[in-house]
Amino acid sequence: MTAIMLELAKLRRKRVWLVCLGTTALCLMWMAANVTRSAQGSPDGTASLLYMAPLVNAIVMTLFAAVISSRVCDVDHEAEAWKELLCLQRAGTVFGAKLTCSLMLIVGAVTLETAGLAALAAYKGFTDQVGLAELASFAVTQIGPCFTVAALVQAIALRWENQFVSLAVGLALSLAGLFSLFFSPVFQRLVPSGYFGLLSRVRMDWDPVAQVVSFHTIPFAWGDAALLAALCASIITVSARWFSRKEL
Amino acid sequence: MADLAIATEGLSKSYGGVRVVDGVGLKVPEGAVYGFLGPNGAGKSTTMKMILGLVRPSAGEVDVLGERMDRRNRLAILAQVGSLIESPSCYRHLTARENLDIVRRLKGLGEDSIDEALETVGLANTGRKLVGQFSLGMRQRLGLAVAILGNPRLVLLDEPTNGLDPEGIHEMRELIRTLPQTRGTTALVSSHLLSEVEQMSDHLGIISQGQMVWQGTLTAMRSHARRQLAFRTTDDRRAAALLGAQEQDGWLLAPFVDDDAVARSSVDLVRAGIGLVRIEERNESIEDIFLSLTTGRGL
Repeated sequence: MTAIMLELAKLRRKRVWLVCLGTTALCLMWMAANVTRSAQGSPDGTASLLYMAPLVNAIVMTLFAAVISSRVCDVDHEAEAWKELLCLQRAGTVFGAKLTCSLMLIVGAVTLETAGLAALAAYKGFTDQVGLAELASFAVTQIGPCFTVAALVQAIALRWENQFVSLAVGLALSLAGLFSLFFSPVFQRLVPSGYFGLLSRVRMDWDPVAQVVSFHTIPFAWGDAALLAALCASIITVSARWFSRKEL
Repeated sequence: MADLAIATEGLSKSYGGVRVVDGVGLKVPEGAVYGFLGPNGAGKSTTMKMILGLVRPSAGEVDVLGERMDRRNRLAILAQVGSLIESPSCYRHLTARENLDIVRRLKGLGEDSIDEALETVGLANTGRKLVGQFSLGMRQRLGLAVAILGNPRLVLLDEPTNGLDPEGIHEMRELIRTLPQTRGTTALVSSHLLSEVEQMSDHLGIISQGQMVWQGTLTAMRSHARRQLAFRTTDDRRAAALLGAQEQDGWLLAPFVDDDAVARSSVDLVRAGIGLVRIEERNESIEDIFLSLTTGRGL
């Protein structure tokens, strides 16, 4: 716990919470701009929001996860603090604290976004509003890919002092996340940001004859969730092992 | 023999087949200020990093504060050790106090330790000024404050006067020199400047090309300094034969002898019809000894 508190103390004046708020606001504004086209009291307005959110998140939240993960690591590169820290803390503790710190920020941003999404649905008076359990399920499906991106970027940010590399990877993952949504699930499974779409429980149907869009809900994709968890665990294991063996 | 704060045995490190530290056996007595001297690239920093466990030795053992250091007990031992390696670690977006607070919490110390450390290094009045606005010298002082926070039993300081102005260098030297008396702290201080080490250390270790070439007390080092008599005469060739001296740079150098022998030599020269122009006593400096050791000429 001390290690996590210290990571947060190091981020003082780094304005990471502002990044959280800004990202959430951007996502919500993007969704709000689209939702204005839905009629007041629409029967599938919430479903359209829950369908759209993962698409937006694949781009914006991926980049957000990369930025905060990079910043959490860069703070110690910038201070040349590793020599000091690793005489007082186990490498594994520092690694875990940084990852937890990123997770906390991701959870904060996604929770805000989910709350904003529910508020938007309520404001528009959509009749298909969802309960707390479904909102929580939505949040979990967004936190998972975000955290995996953060873990991957942390591995890179710890390895290379120049944060251009980690941010470039974040940007590449963001674009890959977006484009993967237009490919088959097999391709989506190859990139962490592809899981925003894979884990989404809302699917869209397009009737080309009637030119009507409808939404339906599918069961939680446990298989893909397990695959993402395995991918995330592998990234963490490999990078934690490398970090604990790093010589300064 | 006093207890050793640091003892290394056959400490070696190779990078890509190149041995940068080769079988170093460092012996730092408890309560000493040990000057670790060597030219740039001699292996001082790598040795210090191996002592702190930041670099894994290719061979050899490290004992710190009487305990053989390994992965399991490393952090417990280092809780009693402060360090400043290569450059000061400081978060530029935080104040000096906030920087020290991070280390204080990691070491589990009371808040009063921060005031004491800041006072000691002369940064007590920096208030809300961010470290990013500090000069290089102030950051170096902060690095030292981090090292001495909580009065550790041992501090390892790598080139601690880097970036300081002459007044700062003087203050830093004084602080380090008095660490054993004022705080009961043993200090291992590396430097490539002999004069600096000479002014603050009582023990000296010289490393060259990764190998320890000499270590002991400064007094012992001074005892190795040769004393010679230098003559200038009107006929150096004959005088050299008469005095058993060697000619060097226009002077005749003979081993130092007592006053009577010097008087006899001058009389002998005059009797032989050789005019004595000048006679001087010459002491080999520690710098000469250092250069002899680091260039492989030995003592």
